Amino acid sequence: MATKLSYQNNIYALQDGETVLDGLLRHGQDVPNSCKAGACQSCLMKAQGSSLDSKAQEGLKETLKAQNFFLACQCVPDEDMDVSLPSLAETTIEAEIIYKEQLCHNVVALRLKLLGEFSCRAGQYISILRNGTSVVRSYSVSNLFEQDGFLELHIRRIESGAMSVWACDEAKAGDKIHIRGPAGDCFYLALNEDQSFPLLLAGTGTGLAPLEGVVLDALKQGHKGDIHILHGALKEDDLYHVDMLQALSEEHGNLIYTPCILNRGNHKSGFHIGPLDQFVMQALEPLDKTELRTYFCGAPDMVNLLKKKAFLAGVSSKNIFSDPFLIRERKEAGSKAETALS
Amino acid sequence: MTTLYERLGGQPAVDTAVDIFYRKMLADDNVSPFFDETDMDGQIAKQKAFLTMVFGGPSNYTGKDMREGHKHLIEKGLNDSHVDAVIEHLGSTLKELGVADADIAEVAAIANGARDDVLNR
Ligand SMILES: Cc1cc2nc3c(=O)[nH]c(=O)nc-3n(C[C@H](O)[C@H](O)[C@H](O)COP(=O)(O)OP(=O)(O)OC[C@H]3O[C@@H](n4cnc5c(N)ncnc54)[C@H](O)[C@@H]3O)c2cc1C
Repeated sequence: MATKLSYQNNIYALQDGETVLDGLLRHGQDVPNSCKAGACQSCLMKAQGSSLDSKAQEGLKETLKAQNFFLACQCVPDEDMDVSLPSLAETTIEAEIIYKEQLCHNVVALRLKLLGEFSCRAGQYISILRNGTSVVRSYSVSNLFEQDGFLELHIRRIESGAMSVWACDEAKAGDKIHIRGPAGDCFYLALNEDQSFPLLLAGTGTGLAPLEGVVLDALKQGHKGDIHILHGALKEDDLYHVDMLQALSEEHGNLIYTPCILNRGNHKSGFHIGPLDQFVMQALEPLDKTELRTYFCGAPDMVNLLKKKAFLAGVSSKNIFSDPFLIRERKEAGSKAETALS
Repeated sequence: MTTLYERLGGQPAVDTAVDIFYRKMLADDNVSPFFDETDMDGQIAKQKAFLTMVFGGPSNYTGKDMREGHKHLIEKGLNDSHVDAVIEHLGSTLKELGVADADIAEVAAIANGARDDVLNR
């Protein structure tokens, strides 16, 4: 059934089966969006008076659900709707960049001080809104916010990317932004008292950010089982936090850190050379699969491959946590929403 | 009188069965290509709905959903042999979980009832 949207004092017709987001974009409206898969929550909108199905609100905080917020990319209305963009005051918190650090040639860390009430678990993600633009993108939390009093994000520079180029090249301490969130279920859960179950975490590029967060949280909560963390990159200079993670694993006997690079080059010893999935499967092999919890983050193709391989090796689906860093497709590109971070 | 769904163990049984069942499907070269481009979490949720239905449980999976959900796979060559394979994996999953043969036959019959919807006939 064809439905109509009322948005900013205009009426827009939707095509059969079309989402609110696709419809508004097709009519030339500038609605913030990124992953188009219901993950990043960039396309948050508010409905006036309509009843929303659960899919359109999946993953939103209860407070947002109660106020009729929904994800435009997941909403195919079956009746006419009156929709609006959320105001900053309703859904975001202001934050100030307090520190910026170059982690490797194409990744920066930003530390944010939040100027409002906020809480999150390390490994969850937040959305950043760049002041004065409609750009909204998700980034994962790599540290223990409660303990540190600030949020740390790792942002990889993507050529001509609207947010990451700004974050890497222009953003500086003192700048203000707005954030929304947190969201996501990639975080540590103690589960049982002895905390002796094994953990395996793997990812490429800035997929390390949430994984580091989960590791820090697990160590802080006194996790006793083995913790394997594998970080993959194309070449050695794409890896970062190598010294930090090596030092952390020397300090904690149950933390095993494996840096992996795909291409042989002038590398130091201690790096594994080859595809990440190969080393993940090697690490996984001897672990107790019925207890093992895995976390996979970063480039979507690798995340999906690792999930599938871990599952086929016997890891229970409820113990596989993941955040594929889904990336907005370029306008010219084909219709696949999930362009992989190479 | 207990229903088939209750005899099989209800929702916890579905949760246990889904991993075994989906693992068999992914490991079967005959049917796994149909799952290649789909995300695993979404697939597992769908398989849960499917298992709940064929276990005779409270399900809102309709024949129309079945038709819509498989249309694009028919273009890729989905046919009777794949439906047979699914029913077989379902049977061996339940056998592993110690389900009685009579109940397995009942589940297979319900699954078979969806065949025409799945194959859009
Ligand atoms: C849940 C979630 C968590 C995330 N967490 C993080 C995180 O912790 N750190 C992080 O760095 N990112 C993270 N991302 C990705 C992030 O949200 C942005 O998508 C990314 O930073 C790009 O945004 P942009 O505005 O710079 O680029 P955009 O303006 O969105 O444009 C990117 C364009 O570049 C193209 N492109 C995509 N990949 C590449 C590539 N590898 N090389 C060149 N071009 C490419 C695409 O076609 C796309 O059109 C996460 C994403 C999700 C969904």
